Amino acid sequence: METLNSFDGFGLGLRTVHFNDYLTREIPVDFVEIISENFMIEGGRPLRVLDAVRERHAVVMHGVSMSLGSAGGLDPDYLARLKALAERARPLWISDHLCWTGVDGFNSHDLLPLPYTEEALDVVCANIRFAQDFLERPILVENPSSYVAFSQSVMTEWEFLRALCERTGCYLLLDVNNIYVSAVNHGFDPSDYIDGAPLDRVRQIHLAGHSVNGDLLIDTHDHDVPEPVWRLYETVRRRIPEAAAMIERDDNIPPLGDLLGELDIARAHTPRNREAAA
Amino acid sequence: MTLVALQRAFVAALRDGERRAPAFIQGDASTKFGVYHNAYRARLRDALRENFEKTWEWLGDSRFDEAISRYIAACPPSSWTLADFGDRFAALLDGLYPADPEVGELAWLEWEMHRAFIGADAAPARAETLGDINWENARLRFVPTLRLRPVSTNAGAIWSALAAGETPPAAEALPASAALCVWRRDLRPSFRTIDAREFMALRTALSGVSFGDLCKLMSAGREDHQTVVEIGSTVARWLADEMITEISAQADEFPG
Ligand SMILES: [Fe+2]
Repeated sequence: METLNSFDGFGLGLRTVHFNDYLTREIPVDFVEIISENFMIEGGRPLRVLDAVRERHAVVMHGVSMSLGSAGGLDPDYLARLKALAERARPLWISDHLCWTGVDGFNSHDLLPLPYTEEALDVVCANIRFAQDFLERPILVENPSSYVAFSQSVMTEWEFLRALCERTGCYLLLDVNNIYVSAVNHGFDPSDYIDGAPLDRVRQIHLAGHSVNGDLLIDTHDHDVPEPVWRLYETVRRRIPEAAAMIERDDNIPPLGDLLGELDIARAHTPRNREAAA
Repeated sequence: MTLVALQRAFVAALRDGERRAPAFIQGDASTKFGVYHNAYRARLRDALRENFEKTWEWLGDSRFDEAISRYIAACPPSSWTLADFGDRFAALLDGLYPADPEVGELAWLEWEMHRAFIGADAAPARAETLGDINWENARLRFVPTLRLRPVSTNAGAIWSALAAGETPPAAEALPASAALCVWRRDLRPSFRTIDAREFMALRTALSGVSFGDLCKLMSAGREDHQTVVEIGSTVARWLADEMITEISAQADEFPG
């Protein structure tokens, strides 16, 4: 697989409620992320908006339905539509999650967790290779938030991700909030994750908020980024100087100005920027 | 346990009405698995509430939620996109409320308006650029977002009132049979309640017959020239409403 150059910058997700902002004024972001499935449509306003946004901003494509962990393999029809969208959007890269979404034709529309076994590793590697060959580009794989662990697992998530990168040449989308959420839910130390993950493969970073449900943290993307996630982000950015960092917000979406303010906080929490300002 | 067996067991537990974690989940399994069990239903419920916002308002929370539960059980999602979830919801409501046909008709209209929003693009034909047409052989092509359904109630008026934030009228049967016609004008989904005669003309035109044959088929029991005038003005309205993409007056496929 070809190498994927880093893109250093700060971005936001393109959400319907902000379409008019993007069409009517200059938005100070270096890139925008689209949820691929929302634009894998035949026509109409969303694609018209995408074309207009693409003229001004770099775009990355982020999917939720590839189902890289499906034991039954990937859906070629889905990949064909994804590829057609990529031809239109000309993204820096395409990403999806380390998860599965369904089996035997059923789709839960959720990012379901995988057991970290040798068999699952073989399955995910085969699926990543298939996707990369089909899409003719390396993909980014995102670490998910998870709420359950499996008795079958024989390795940690970061060991699993390292093996994926080594075997397939894929890259990583590191979601700092997801590391934090999973660390609390499963009782591991986030710094073990950061020490063990192949950070040289990270091309993009997600920042998000979560909600608290008893002893569990839930990755709801409906809150501001909380303090412990910012601290973890700072640690990560000392090791990953160049990456495309962004705020993910999918629910309870505030005005674009608020998210731009949060993106300024991300810039301020990036050690390189802080040192330059000092 | 193989990965596929684990995934089947996970999905079976996910879809089960009872919240029971599969045995291979570690720790406080039922609380942790419950996150997925709840999220599955909540995501589908939210998708239906968003796509059928007006039907939800019309039915009220408890009847709408009851319909959602039945729908999730009867029509579990299979498409790669959540946008497809709901394609049979209007049909389910038709079956659930046979005495209140406006419910299914309203849901159909909402669904098709959402589908039209993301349907294929097509440039409408303009009356002023049509030039000379051999109308006898002319065939009409329609925008790809065009959808039709016969209706018996004022579901269209209910939709419009709810869309405007006004108190909707009471459901009532239409005095004569009619149909709803949905399509997209440029970027804006549109609809019109049409009478039975226009419905028949539109269905016939969609089947690909020539304008000449359309007039013949529509003229049963009437003066020919009267029908030509009537269908001519109907087609003019379709053109003005940007429902037509092309009027092609090619020679017959088998000349001579
Ligand atoms: Fe993420």
